[in-house]
Amino acid sequence: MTRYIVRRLLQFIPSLIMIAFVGFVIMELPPGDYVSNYVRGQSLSGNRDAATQEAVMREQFGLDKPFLLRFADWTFNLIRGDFGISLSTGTSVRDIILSKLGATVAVSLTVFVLSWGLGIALGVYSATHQYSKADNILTTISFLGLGLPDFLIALAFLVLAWRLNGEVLTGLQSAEYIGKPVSVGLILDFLKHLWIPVSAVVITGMAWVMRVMRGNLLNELGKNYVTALRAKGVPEQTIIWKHAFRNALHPLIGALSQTLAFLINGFVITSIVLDLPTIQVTYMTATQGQDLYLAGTILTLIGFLVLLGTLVSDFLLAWLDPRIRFS
Amino acid sequence: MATLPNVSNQPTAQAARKKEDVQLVSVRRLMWLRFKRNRLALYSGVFLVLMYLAAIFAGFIAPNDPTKVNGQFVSVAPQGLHFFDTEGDFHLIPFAYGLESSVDPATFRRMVEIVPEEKYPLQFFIRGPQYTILGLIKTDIHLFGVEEPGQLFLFGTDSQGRDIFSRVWYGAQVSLSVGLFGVFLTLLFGSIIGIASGYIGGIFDDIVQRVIELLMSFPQLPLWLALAALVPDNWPSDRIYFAITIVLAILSWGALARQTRSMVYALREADFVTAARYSNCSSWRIIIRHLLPNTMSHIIVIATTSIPGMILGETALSFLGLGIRSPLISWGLLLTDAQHVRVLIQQPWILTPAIFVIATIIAFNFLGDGLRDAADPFAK
Amino acid sequence: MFKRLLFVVVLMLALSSTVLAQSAFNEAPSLAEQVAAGTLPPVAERLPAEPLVIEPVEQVGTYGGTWRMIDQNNELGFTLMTAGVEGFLKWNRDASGFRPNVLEAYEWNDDATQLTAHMRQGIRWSDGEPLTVDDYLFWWNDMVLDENIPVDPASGTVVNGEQMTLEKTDDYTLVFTFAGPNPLFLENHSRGPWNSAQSIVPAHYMEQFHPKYNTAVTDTTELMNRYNTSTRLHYPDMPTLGPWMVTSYVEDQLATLTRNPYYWKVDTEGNQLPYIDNIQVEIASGSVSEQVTLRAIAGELDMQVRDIALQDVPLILESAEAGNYHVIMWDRGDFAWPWLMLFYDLADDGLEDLMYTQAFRQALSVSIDRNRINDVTALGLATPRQFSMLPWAEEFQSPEGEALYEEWANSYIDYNAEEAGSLLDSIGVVDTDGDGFRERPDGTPLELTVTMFPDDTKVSQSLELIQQDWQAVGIKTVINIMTWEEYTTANEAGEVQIFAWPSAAGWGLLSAPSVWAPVEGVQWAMAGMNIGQYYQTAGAEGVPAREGSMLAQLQEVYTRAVAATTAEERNAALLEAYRIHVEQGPITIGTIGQHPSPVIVGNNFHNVPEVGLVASWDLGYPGTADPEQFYMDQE
Repeated sequence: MTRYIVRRLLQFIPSLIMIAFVGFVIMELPPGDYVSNYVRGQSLSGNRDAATQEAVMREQFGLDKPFLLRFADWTFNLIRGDFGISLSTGTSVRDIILSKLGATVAVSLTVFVLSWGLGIALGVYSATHQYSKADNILTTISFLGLGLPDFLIALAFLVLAWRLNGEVLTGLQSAEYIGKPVSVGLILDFLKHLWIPVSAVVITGMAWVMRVMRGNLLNELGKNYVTALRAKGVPEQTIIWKHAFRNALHPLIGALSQTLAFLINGFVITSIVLDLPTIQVTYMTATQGQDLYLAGTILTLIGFLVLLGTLVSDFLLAWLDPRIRFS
Repeated sequence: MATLPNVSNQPTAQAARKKEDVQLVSVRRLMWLRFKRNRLALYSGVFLVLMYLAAIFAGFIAPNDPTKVNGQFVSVAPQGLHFFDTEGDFHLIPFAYGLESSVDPATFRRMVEIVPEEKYPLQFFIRGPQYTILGLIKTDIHLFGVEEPGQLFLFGTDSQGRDIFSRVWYGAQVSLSVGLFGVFLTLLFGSIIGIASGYIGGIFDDIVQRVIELLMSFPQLPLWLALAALVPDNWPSDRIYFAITIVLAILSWGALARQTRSMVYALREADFVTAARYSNCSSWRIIIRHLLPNTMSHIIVIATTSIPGMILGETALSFLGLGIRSPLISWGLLLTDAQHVRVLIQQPWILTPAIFVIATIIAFNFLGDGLRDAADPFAK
Repeated sequence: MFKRLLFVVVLMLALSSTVLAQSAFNEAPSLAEQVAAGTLPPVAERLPAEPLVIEPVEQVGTYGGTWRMIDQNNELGFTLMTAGVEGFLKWNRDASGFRPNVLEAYEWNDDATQLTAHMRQGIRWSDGEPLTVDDYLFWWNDMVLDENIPVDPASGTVVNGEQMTLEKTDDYTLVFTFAGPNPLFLENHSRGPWNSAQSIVPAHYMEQFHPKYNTAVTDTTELMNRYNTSTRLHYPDMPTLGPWMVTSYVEDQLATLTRNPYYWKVDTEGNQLPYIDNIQVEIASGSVSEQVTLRAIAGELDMQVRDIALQDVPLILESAEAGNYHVIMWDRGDFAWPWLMLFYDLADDGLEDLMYTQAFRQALSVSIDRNRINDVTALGLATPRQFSMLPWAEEFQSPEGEALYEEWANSYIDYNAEEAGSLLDSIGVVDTDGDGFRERPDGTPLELTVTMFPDDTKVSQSLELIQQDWQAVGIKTVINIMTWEEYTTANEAGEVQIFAWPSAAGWGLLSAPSVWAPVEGVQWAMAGMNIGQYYQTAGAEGVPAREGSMLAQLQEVYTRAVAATTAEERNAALLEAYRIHVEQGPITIGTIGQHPSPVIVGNNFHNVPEVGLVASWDLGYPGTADPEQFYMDQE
């Protein structure tokens, strides 16, 4: 077992390097780079001198060096913990990511716990009360949730919230609490802002979990071993929770591998629409502006979380299902 | 004591029953019967077939040219058909009023007023803007419409004065087909590779898993962004369309493969598989004839749930300015137009395409549910 | 006799009272508190002996208030344009010329090759250190001339290929010497938040990041971050000359500014400016115009100049009462959005011939339905116009200039598809094979490609309409998208035929002369980079304009305009150049321009002028509107 874990962990490294490499390549492929985007923006707003600075800026950022050299440099620095700097602000990438990690994890964790918690619970209830009124209502809600794009709901919620209480709740904090130390007021203000993105995303996220849970559980409940258990007189609750539920969880566990990564990578467009100070938004802006090291680092971080998530989910699968052996 | 004779048990009755009730029913027919029982799924299926038909005949159904810009009818509220005119008279054939546009000098908002004297009756099979069906048949006959210079804006117009009703149907062409093709590609790769990987295991499994991991460890949207950004801006729109379909498919086959693989992991040790192996079945035969049917219902559920994902994915890409671009029309583009505060507050009719998106997605989900239930005819 | 004495006495009393009144400066209550607590010197010591007097737009204001606004991204451009436009000179509020700012006075020698500039004495940085010419010299000697620091000389500092030389006469006097006449140097050097606003740096602060002065410094990142306008507002400890200084910056979220206690301007009653205490800048990301609109109609913005989508104007106007604000319509000051730059150096010779043919260009221009573009993309609020400079420019401020302007702006803009058709017929561009599209005079197919940058909805919408218009008269048109790099390469190779630029301001010699004369080898040089490059390198590189063509004539007139030492000479030359555009044009085609730019102003926010030109940052709005004299009602 330990050998297996170590083997998997070691496999992370080449995977991560591959991910980073492909990520960098994709970012370099469109013509131009950060400097040309910057120069274009400046020139279009009237700064005539920007165009003459192009070569100098490139040199300053090291963007004139060949791609492989830059990538190799960055990989070596990565090991030392130096992730490079953001080309647009000059701040170190590490500082940027750390400063946003808290808010990102807070929102994502809330969304995850609520979506999966509610999704699983309601999915089980729906399956065990198939075709009942409650089931139909829940099914309809879940379908609505699946059909609505979350960013559309987000904007609608924002406008609705403003209509209801007169405050525009973009971002995660009101101006008076930004950068201030933690206090009761700050937490309340944070919660006030939090509910908009969370509810928009949970509606759509929970829907999927609920449906899959319901479908799988129904599948399991139709199987022979359930009939056998029932014939044996095992109470229904035990059948559901001790047997069918665990089997029904399989595909969901498979999906769990993505969840760790989802923490810093989910509901991107909603984040953009609501202007949340999360890593997703930073990643989008960095990719669109070809801010190489920032985007590359976040990409690798997400890749790492996916690999970790896969490992965790494989273990959970094995723990759940004694039939699985590791070959 | 005399008992009433039990007629049903007499030999003749039994024989008669035997002849009527017992039929040889194929699995497929069983599936169909089960499917029919699920009303929701049935109606959804019908709805979707109608939608696809409507998409194919979009030009026929849409009264206007969806790309025609009407400068003076920018952001106009829905102008429908009326049976009763301003004086309260009833007209058997509904009509549309003539429209006069002006600009409110205080707010610069376009105002449109009806001209009660001008009535344009609804006509069927009217001649209108030219269009093609499936790129083959060129014609200009529309299902319904009004004569020039009457305007029929059933769902209102967008910020460029284009008829939303027409745009919805043309948009359906792109959005519905992207979903279909994308999912087809996904299914093809995902299920076969996933099952093979799960069953064969070993190095093959390892390699496939690494590739899938590589693919899936990229954050979905940013990878879409990166891939879609690679699509050169100056490609013709249909080539962009196919590229986007492939981009969407590239990302989802991995998920399907993973899930199928985890199911196969569980099934691998099942008795019937062991039995098949001992009977000298080749791996391929085991995969196709035994594992595939057992995972089929799950694959179908995933497939039908993926189509909405593709449609939403196309929406997301369009929102970011990648994906389908003007002058092609897709529901994603239409939703992007709706993504403004001014639309939510002042011009809510621009949100109408959302209803179609939601309805289509819900229909696909009901259908998927129904198919899943039906695909396992021996379940309760 | 007695009357005379009385008169003199009264006069002296009046004079002394004004002197007394002026010598008693007032300051904001928050600063007065600090003075009382001993943490700040008294106002008379903080201000120069003769501070710059700013006349309020409406009336003298009251101290206090926090100005809430939104900025587009971490570059804080809007904030910079509010608090960082303190150059040698400053545009007048209506952009009609320049007024002294950091410089108090200046003199040119006779042939405009030597400038003596006098800085206002007594100006202090926001940390109290005095401003002297050493600060500017630090920029020139230790940043521009130092090879290790990646700073290029600003435009105007290099004449005829030679850099200027600077000589310090005393702490407040500087002599600039140029290799040739450079009469517009100070104006050029005072545009927007760049140029002198950027190059007057706090030397005493920057030295600690400069390798020459601080041996511990290994690279120039920190120095450049504080020099570059896109990052300099991220450093609260950096001294500034502007009305407000940054006190906190949280990336992607919020920037806070507070009043500069050493700000060197007062109002007409001797009150030290600014009136407003704090500025709270919310940093948006992603869909900034949606956020601006929502916050505006919620009444959460006090004054907002940028990032308001024209399409949102009806909603914003309708909610004005509920949101307790009003909207002032400034102007983008753009000559056209989009403007179609035609290229005259093409790899395709046949097309190049057509471009040089006036009738072809006239046909292209009159076949565009500008009113439709106006209705669809600008709510009908812009003005259909030909490509031309803007009416506020100095050279148009004469009867002759006005007449020429009217003629130029209105030439070939009336939509007339038939005339276009007959113009094309007259030069032999007819449809010979009946496919609905015209061919060239020699019979080969004609296809025009219009190129644009990605991510500009207005330009792409407009181009789609123009494409429909041109195809309606039989000219096959294709729209192409290129990135900056691709465009630069294609431009040099003669592969770009027509390029659609977003709006830009147009001002004679001050704003990008290359838009009206092909004189520089830059991406926005009209007619193509190669023709401008030929002029700029005096024939060493590039491609010459065709002899005797309007392009060659423009280059010749430009030479005269730039060498002119008096304003009259210069304006006459400019008008001559513009006349070439009118008579031989259109050389570059305009569509609609002078878009209004809505400014949201809270009802408690005052002293905002009615005129403002915002598209080009060159013009420095809202800094040019003197935001230090904006004030907010205090209850």
